Amino acid sequence: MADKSFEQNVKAELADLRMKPDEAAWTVIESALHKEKKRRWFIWLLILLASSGTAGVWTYYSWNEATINTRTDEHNKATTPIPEPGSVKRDMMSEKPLPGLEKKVAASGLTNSSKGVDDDIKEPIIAGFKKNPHAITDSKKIKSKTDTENVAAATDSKTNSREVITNKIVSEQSKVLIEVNDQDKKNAVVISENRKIDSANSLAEGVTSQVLTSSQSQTIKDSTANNLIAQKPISKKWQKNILLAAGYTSTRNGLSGNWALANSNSGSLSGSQGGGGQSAFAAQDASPSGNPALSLNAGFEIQKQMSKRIALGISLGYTMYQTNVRVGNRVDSAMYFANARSYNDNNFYFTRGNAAMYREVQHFINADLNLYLPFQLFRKIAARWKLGAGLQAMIASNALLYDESTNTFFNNTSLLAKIQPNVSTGFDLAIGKQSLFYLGPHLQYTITPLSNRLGNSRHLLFTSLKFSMSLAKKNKPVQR
Amino acid sequence: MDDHQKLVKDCLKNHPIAQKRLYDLFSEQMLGVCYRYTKSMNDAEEVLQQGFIKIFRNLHQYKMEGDLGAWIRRIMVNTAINYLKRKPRYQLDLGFEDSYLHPVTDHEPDINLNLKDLLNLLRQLPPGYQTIFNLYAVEGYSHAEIGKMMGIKEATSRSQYARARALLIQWLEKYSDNDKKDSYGR
Repeated sequence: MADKSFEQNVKAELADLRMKPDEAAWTVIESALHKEKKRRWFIWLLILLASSGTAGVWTYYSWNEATINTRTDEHNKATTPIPEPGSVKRDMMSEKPLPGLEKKVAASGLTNSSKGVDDDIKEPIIAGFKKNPHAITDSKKIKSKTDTENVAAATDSKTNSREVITNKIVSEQSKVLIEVNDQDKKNAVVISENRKIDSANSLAEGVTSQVLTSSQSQTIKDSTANNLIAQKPISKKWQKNILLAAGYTSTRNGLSGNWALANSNSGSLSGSQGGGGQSAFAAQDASPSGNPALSLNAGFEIQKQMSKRIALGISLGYTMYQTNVRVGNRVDSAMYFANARSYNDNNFYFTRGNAAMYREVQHFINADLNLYLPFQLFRKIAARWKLGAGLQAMIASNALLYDESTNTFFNNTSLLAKIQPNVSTGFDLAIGKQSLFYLGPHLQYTITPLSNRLGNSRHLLFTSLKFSMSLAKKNKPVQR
Repeated sequence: MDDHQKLVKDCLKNHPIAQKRLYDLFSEQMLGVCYRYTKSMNDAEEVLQQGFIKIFRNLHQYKMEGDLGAWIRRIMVNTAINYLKRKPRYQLDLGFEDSYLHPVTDHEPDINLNLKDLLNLLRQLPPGYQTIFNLYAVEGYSHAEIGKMMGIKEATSRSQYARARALLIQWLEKYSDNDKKDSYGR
C-alpha cells in the first residue's frame, strides 16, 4: 500500500465499487421510457387529426367548386337550344311556373306586371335579355352582377335601385324558365331558387323601402324558411360531420357537487424518503378542490337520418380535458405509496395544501354513439336535441392521485382508469338555411371515477359549446 | 465489445429485453458511482434512474468506437453533478463557504485503506469537497475539466481538492489510531 500514492490507493478501492440497486429502480426507468413512447404516438395522432381535418376542409371546398360548375353546365343544357327572345316572352306567358315560386315572385313585387315597376323599366329587361341570353342560365354570373349593383344601389340614387330590381326580375324570370323546361327536377330547383330569392330579397330590403314594405319582406322570409324545412328531403346516406367543442371541465364528486377533499389535520408524511428538511407538513388544514379549466374536443362523425324524428350519429374524436387542483409544496423525490405498491412518476409529489395550482391535462380518444332529435324552435329555426353515450380511452395524463396514508398528491398514470364510459346531452341550433352548421351547449359526464384508489372519486364534467359542420353537398347538381 | 454494439443497436430499436440487459450489465457499477457522490441510498438510486433514462434517450449519440462503460459512466457522473446542483441541500455546500476550509497537507499517510471506512468518510465530507475529490482522485478528471463541469475556477478546484484530501487523511489517521488502540485493548 505504501509504495502507491494516496490517490492511487483511493482509486483502486473506489473506482470499481459495485452496489445492487433496488428492483423498483428499473420499474421507474421502464415506465419513463414507456411514457415517452406513448407521447410519440400521441404526437403522430395529433398530426393525423390535423391533416385529416385539413383534407376534409379542402375536399369540402373543392366539392363546392365542382358543384357550381356542374350546375352551370346542367343549366346550360337545360336551356339549349336558346329560344328567341320573342318566344321566351310567349312561353313565359303561356306556361305556368311552379305555384310556390309564382307566389313568392308576386309577393316580392318583382314581376313585370308588378305595380312598383314602370313600363319604361320593362323594355330594358327585354333588351338586356336579347343582348345576352346566356345570362339567364348562368345563375352565378347573374348573382354576382346583381350583388354588385345592389351594393351600389344601396348608397346611390333611386335610378340605381330601379336597376337592381330590374336585375332581380331577370333573375326570377330565368328561374321560372329553367323550371318550366325541366319539370322532372322541380323539388331540387325549388330549394335552390328559394335560397336565391331569399338572398335577393334581403338585398332588396336594404335598397328601397319604396318598393317593398316591411310586411311584404317578412312574408317572403317566413315562406322561404317554411318551404325549406318542409321540402328538405330525408337523406338516406351517411352524412359526414366535423365536430369541434371548447369549454370547461370540472371534477365532480359524483353528481352531488364539485370534488373536494374533506378538511383533515391528521395527515402525516410518514413515508417520505426525501425533502431534505423541507416541510412536508405545510398547510395540512387546507381543503384541496378541483377547479374548472379550458378543454377542447375535435372529432369526425358519420350521421344518418333514420326517420323524420330521429338521426343516428357515430363519432370518433380526441378530447383534451384540463382541470386545476390546489396542492401544497412540491417535493422532488421518488416515493413509494401504500406499502410500496405504487410509486410516483416524474420523481416528484405534492403535499396537501393550497400553496399552488396544479394544471391537470388528460388526453383521450373517444368513440360515441349519438341520437339526434330534430325539431323546430319557434316554428322557424331548425334545432335538435342530442343524447349520447360513449367510451373514451386515455392516451396520456398528468392527473394527480391523492394518497390518504401520506396525505400527498402524486402522479402515476398506470393507476388511472384507462377506459372511461360517458354520457352526454346537448342542444343544437342550425346556422343558415340548409342546416349544414350547428352550434349549441353540450354536457358530457364520465361515469367512472378518475381512479379506484380511495379518496379519488373524481368524475369529469365537460361543459362545452359544440360546433358541428356537415361535409354534405350544399346544393345537389341538377341531373337530367 | 461486439456484444455491446449489438446490445446498443437492439436498445436503439426499443427492444425492452435489450434495455433491461444493458441496465443489468451496468446498474451495479453505476450505483457505486452515484453512491459516492450522494449522501443517501435514496438519492443515489434517484440519480441512477435519471442517469439511465438519459442514457436510453441519448443512446443514438454513442459512437460505436469507444468503451460503452466509460460513456455510460461519464453520463452518470454528469447526471450526479446536475442533481447536486438542483438540490438545495447540496447546492448550499457547493458554495464553498469559509467554514468548510481546512489546512492542507502534502504528506502520504501510512495507513491501510479499508473500503468501507474510506467510503463512509468520503461521504462525510462536505458535498463540495466530496464531489471534487471524487472527480479528481477517482474519475481522473483534471482540475481544468472539473472547473468547467462545476462552473468554478481551476484554482478553486485545486485548492478545494487539497483541503478535501487533507481532511480525509486526518480522519483516516484518526480512524486508524482508534483501530490500533482497539486491537491493543483486546
